[in-house]
Amino acid sequence: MSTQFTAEVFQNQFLPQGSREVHAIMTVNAGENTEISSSVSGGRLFGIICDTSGSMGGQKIRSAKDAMIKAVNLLPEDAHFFMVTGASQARLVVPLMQATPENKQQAIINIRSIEAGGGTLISTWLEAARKQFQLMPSAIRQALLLTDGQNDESDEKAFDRALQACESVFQCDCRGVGTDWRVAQLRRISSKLLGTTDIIADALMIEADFQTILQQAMGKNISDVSMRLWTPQGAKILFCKQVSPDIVDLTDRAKPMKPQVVDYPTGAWGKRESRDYHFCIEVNPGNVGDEMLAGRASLICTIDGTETKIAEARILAVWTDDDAKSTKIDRRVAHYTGQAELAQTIQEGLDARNRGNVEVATAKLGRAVKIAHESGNEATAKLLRTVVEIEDAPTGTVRLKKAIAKEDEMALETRSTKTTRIPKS
Amino acid sequence: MPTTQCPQCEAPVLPADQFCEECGTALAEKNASSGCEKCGASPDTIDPDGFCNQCGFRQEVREGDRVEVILNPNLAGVSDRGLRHHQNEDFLALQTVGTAEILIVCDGVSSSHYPELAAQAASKSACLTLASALQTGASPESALRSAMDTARLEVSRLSEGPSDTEPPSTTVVAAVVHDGIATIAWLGDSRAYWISDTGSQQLTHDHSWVNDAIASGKITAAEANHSPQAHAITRWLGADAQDDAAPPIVRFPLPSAGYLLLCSDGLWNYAPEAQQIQELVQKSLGTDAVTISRSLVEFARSQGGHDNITIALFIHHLLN
Repeated sequence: MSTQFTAEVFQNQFLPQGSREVHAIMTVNAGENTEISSSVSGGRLFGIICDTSGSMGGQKIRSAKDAMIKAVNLLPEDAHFFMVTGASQARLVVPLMQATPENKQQAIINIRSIEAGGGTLISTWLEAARKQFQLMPSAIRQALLLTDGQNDESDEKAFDRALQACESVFQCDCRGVGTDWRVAQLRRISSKLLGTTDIIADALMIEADFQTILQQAMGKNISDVSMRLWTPQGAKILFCKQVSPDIVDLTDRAKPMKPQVVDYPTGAWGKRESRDYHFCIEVNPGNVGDEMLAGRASLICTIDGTETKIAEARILAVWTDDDAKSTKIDRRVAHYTGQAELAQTIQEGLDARNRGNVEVATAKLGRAVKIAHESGNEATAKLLRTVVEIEDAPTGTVRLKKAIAKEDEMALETRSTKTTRIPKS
Repeated sequence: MPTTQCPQCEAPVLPADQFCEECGTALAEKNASSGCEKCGASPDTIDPDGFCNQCGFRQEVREGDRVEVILNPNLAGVSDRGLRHHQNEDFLALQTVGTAEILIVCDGVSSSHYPELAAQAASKSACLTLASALQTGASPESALRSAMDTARLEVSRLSEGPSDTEPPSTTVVAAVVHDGIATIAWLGDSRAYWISDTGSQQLTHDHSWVNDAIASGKITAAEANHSPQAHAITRWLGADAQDDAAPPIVRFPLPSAGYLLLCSDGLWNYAPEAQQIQELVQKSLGTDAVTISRSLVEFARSQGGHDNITIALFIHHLLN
């Protein structure tokens, strides 16, 4: 009789007199059956955008072609798909079609004919993909972009425009193969298009990675979900971040809906998916004893033009003169504040290292090791070990490694935003 | 408690005052629409939990303005002041006795004195009597009859005597669910509904001027509903009620899984048809009794909340 989403807020609502900043972590869980009426009846559309510029020649393009063929074979028959290859121009290698056995055969023939050559103008690739996605606006629309290099500098303005136009038309995960691409560049795409960015250091691993992405994409069954946040008049949203499974700062993505209400796009959700959000809201302070609704966060999905609220939770503020109450920091808020600092510290450490500032790099990465250790973020700790020698993790005593493989550094940079959750108590 | 002034003569008045003691200016409307104490927003910006939708601050909630009773995930109820009345004159009672469930909703008659006390006395005494009668093995029908008798006596005792022209009065609807059968007694226009995917229906028949007028054929339903007397009730619990007439009792075997809903007119004014309530229940964000009750209250408030709103809800599951 109701939807399967649940939302829960964790916070210490007690504030000392005069305090204005309210922090809260919201956990959203999609249940076993997230399908909401006609959400999947719009179908699923999956697009592959593959770099075929000259630098992709040789092993990379061979592996990419193999991976695309495998992906096509794995597509469920009721899904739709298309393929765009990109160099100085985009080419629609496989136009939008349903994944029937006959169509798959035709697509595979087309993929085999792909050859590498030319420059890298990503704007043209995005444009070509956008046109395909616009053909099925009510489908769950997801893409995968694979590249090995940097976008041509002449494409900067067109790239910005294209990216802007693609926003909310489709979601896109980005993968960089090898080490000649730039993390920041792909992150701009994936962050605007609600996807992830990761490195595939070895071309032979493309196939496995494609399969994981495809599997996740096919697991999504509700699309275009927004996080709607109401705040009191005069309040300011200092930040809104997704903090689990990875950190994505949503603050600048706020779309004003009406006074006091903004929407943040969260894209598509699959069953049993779980995400955490960290809100920080500055409110007009109340008197001791006052109680305030500092925020009301809800998940909204739009089906055939009708908005449906699928979960809601409230963020409170209560002013008190009892220090014992107001000085406590909620452990989830503390944990994710730490995870955000961890990601930022790693980025700053790597930047300092690239500038040759050994002292700052050592301090930052040492601090990162300490936080990763304390919060039990084993995955990040492991990545840190590829760039520093750890003498003592609890104190964050480290030495920078002299020689670091480029791919290790890029892996750390792309994956440092992955967070851990604290165990339920 | 915030003190306010009469808008006419500036004499101090209490929030519950309907008229200024000094100059006699009617205050009820003023008090009812006092809105947000912090930012002055209009009353319809206050959410069911008292938070202002403009500044976020919570209003001081007077005792009884909002009552939630949660016995278990399948049995709960909410009583809410609504947006226009200055106090909550509804009340509810819930209890589980062995394998039987008791649900009671009362709506104090606004034109009588101390309607809130009448609703409270009736709910509490009826619930206690029902519980002890059921415990001693009485049938639901006879338990309901004695509960209604006790409630009428208790409410009558609130009266100041024969000189009391408007003695405290209340409607009542009381249900006992036992062995998959709902037995329901009522007086006035508080209702019981059966809500289910396989067919929803109203189980009670209002004792109201409208129904009497339509039944007698003097007037059409449309005319009756527009009459100023449309909301007048013809039977109630109180010192001035006829004490010889027994309340009607219906017996309703629960045909499937579903919901037994008791409510005051604060809800059904906005959703009179069982089908409309069924749609509201289906739209609720939760599946437990209190969440559904809250969403029904929120619906009535979103429609204007002109009256107090009270819901008592039992979720009936089929045993496999």
